Amino acid sequence: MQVKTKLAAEEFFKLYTQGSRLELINGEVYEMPGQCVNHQRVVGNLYFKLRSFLKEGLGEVLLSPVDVVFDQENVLQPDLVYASDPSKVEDKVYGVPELVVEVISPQTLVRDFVEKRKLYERFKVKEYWLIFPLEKTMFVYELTENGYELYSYATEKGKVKSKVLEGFELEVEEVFKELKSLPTP
Amino acid sequence: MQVKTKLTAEEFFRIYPEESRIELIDGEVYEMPAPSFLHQEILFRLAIKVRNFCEHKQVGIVVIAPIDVVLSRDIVLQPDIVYISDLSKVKDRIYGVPDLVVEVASPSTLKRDITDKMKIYEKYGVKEYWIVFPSEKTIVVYQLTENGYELFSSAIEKGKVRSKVLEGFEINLEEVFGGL
Repeated sequence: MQVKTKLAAEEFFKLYTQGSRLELINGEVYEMPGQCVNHQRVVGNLYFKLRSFLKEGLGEVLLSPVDVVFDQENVLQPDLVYASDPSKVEDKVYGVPELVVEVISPQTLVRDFVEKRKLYERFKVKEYWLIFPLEKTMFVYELTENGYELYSYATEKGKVKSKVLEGFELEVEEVFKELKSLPTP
Repeated sequence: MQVKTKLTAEEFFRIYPEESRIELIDGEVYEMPAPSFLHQEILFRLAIKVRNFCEHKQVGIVVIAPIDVVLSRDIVLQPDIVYISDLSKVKDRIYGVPDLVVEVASPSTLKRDITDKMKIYEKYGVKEYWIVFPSEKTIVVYQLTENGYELFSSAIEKGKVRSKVLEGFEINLEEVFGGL
């Protein structure tokens, strides 16, 4: 839901208290929906895997809500963000991270799959992971000359890999393991 | 699942019996999984709406899967719903590019619907592409622009989506997902 229109990042931070679940997209403010248990499980599983993989000095993975200031008009809160350069991580993340992860929910499907994907592509985030918990599917997009191209994916079972995090592999069953009670169409 | 490699459309039609649930993408044959109840229910509800609209307006024809759409010598797809304004393209199969294609994404077809097939529809100039996400009760309508597919309309659960190709067509998502 759109809240208010056309702000710069400074005004945005002045107006809204820290820890607000809001995003600034092209100068417009959008509320973030509250997330359900399954969404948080998936995000948590991924965070744990990434955290375990990253050794000292390989950069940092951060869990939402954290503001990522892409530019004056775009402040996003991805579900997970990985930045290799520690100088980008201060009270907020400033600049373009190497890897962004979004776990979709019905309320955020269009934003994650269409709008934010386009934005990450525009800002040249090298890798974008898009996860559909209900479909138990994970997509890894790699930034190419032609924009995002599918680099790796898996449904229910199988491994996905990352290009940005060389050597990182993930069995998707482990990402979706606690979601068995969900109806599958 | 990939079945066999590098065929042309003619060979493909010769080898596989009519009404096989398979697609030919860049000369490679892919099996289509049998759809679920939810998929079929949503497809039926949506197809009736689109078909009634087109009959009422007396424009084109609306066909549901399985129907072969022959896009080129090495691409034959079976979209869930196709709308074609040019009736000369409709023979035993559909030969040429439809104006509008709808895919109902299920877990087993999600990847193909949102990446491979979307890219093909874009490349061949399908003017409008709808992706229906049953689990998320979401419909996304893309319109073909100079920069490829751009979001034209979308809604969740109770909202309305509209079409550009079928001017005046809109559907309340409750009619699609209600009770499911």
